[in-house]
Amino acid sequence: MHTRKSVALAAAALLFFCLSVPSLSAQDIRGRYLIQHDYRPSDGLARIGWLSDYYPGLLGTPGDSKVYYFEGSKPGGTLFIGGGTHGNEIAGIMAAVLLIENLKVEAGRVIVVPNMNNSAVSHQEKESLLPSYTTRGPAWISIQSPSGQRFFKYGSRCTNLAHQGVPDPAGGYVHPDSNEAPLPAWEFRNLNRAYPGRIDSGLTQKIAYAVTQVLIREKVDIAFDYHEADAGGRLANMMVANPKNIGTAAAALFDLELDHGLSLKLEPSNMEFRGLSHREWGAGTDAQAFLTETPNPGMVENAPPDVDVVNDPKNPLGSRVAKHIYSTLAVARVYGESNPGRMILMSGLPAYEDLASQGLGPYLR
Amino acid sequence: MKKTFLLCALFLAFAASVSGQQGLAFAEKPALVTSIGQSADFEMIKVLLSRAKIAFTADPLIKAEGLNASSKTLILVVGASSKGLGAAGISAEDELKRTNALLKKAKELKMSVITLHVGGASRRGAMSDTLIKSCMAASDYAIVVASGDEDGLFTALAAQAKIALTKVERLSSAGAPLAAAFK
Repeated sequence: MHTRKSVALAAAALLFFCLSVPSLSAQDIRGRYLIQHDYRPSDGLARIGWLSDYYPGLLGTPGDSKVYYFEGSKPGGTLFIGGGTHGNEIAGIMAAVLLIENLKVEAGRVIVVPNMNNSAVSHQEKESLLPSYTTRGPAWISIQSPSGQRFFKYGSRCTNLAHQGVPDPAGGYVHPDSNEAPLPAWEFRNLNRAYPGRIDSGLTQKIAYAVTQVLIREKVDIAFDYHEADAGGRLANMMVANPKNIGTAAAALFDLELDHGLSLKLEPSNMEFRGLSHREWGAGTDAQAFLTETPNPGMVENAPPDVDVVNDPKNPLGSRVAKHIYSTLAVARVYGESNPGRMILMSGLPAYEDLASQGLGPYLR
Repeated sequence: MKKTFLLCALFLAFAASVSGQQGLAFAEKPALVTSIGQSADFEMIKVLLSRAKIAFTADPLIKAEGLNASSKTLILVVGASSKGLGAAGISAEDELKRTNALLKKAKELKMSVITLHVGGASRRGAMSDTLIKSCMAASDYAIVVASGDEDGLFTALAAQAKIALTKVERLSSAGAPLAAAFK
């Protein structure tokens, strides 16, 4: 009887332990907080680093994230690509993953961070204050690849409240350099309102600081931030460019139309609206800064909770990923034409039309 | 038989292209391109003009007093952007006043005027339409991306102003008719 009671207690304790440990995450031997993303880099990968290499204060926090480096045998410029600023904007994450799993760099360097806000993929809490589109969507997406079914994490728009370390400001969020009216308080945890970042604030601001340091220390020439938007909204199918590099963007979009029949809208950064990547990266670093927005059916205002964000007939994930990648390639080409010594030459990627029509599956490892 | 058919088709295609160009080649270089509504479409048109090798200068905010006889053709890239107007620090009303003054001065200088609307349906709306009406009334020719004329506004305004209107499917297709408009 006594033994039975002990066994039951031990089982209950074990169950409690298992439930209390997040299945997604752990910490490695050096204290790095790990979210177990299944990304399988191509042979072209030179090395993997971490955001905490650029700001050690991120080490051991859910804001740390892997940085993938691809280096060409010939000198050239440096291209930075960030996905996952918002964990629910899955095409941005998957475009970065597709690059990691296929890319070869012939000249210059490419740096890819597929989950810029790694905390944002750790949760999908239905926070009452956040608009529904920010947390709607599956917990995971699955894609059939040549090696079997692959799973990728779909998250939320903002840093996990439990990770931020500082409460959302009671009177609403105001960027420290902004003169504008306060934004909703939860925007304090929106990475794309936090640049250039700071180290004396919440986790989101620390992540932003680390990303900015990547751009400065790696002498990045071109920086892309991959996003998604309401499929029927104004932002969908758009490239936003810092005013200093809007000419590069215009020439690239022109080429995209000619080469692939792909028409994207163009907007310059609003320099009065502080904290956005394209605005702050362009102003605070030497990089030409761009942001691309593709149409996510899960972000439509009245989308059903079980919306299919992968196989949407109008905007399938493959076509959205193709838009991000080929916009970037077009910009890199235009930039290289004006800066011959800073050319970035890439290969190994699927053709635009193949990716758009066949989806990502055949091109994942 | 096949050969005759092919020759006829080639002749017809050639004749069509020549007649189109003859009808529209009225504008002189260099051109001055400005934005009417401060949208980023202005940047796209600068690329288009460069690629079409049309000599031009560009000033998105040029005022009537800045216009002079050194430019022979005024190209208006029309379509309002509240963000662009805000960034430029001007109101929609001020943009309309600048437009009307610019068009009056262009007429005094006997400049050719070409309106371009390349932003499609998303570059329409009350603010854009007011500017479009002013531009079309004073233009010699207009090129629009077809999705911007789904309601027939440009077609009606072109008929009213008795000017030629060319509709293209995409922005990148606007280069050929624009180049053909120049002598």
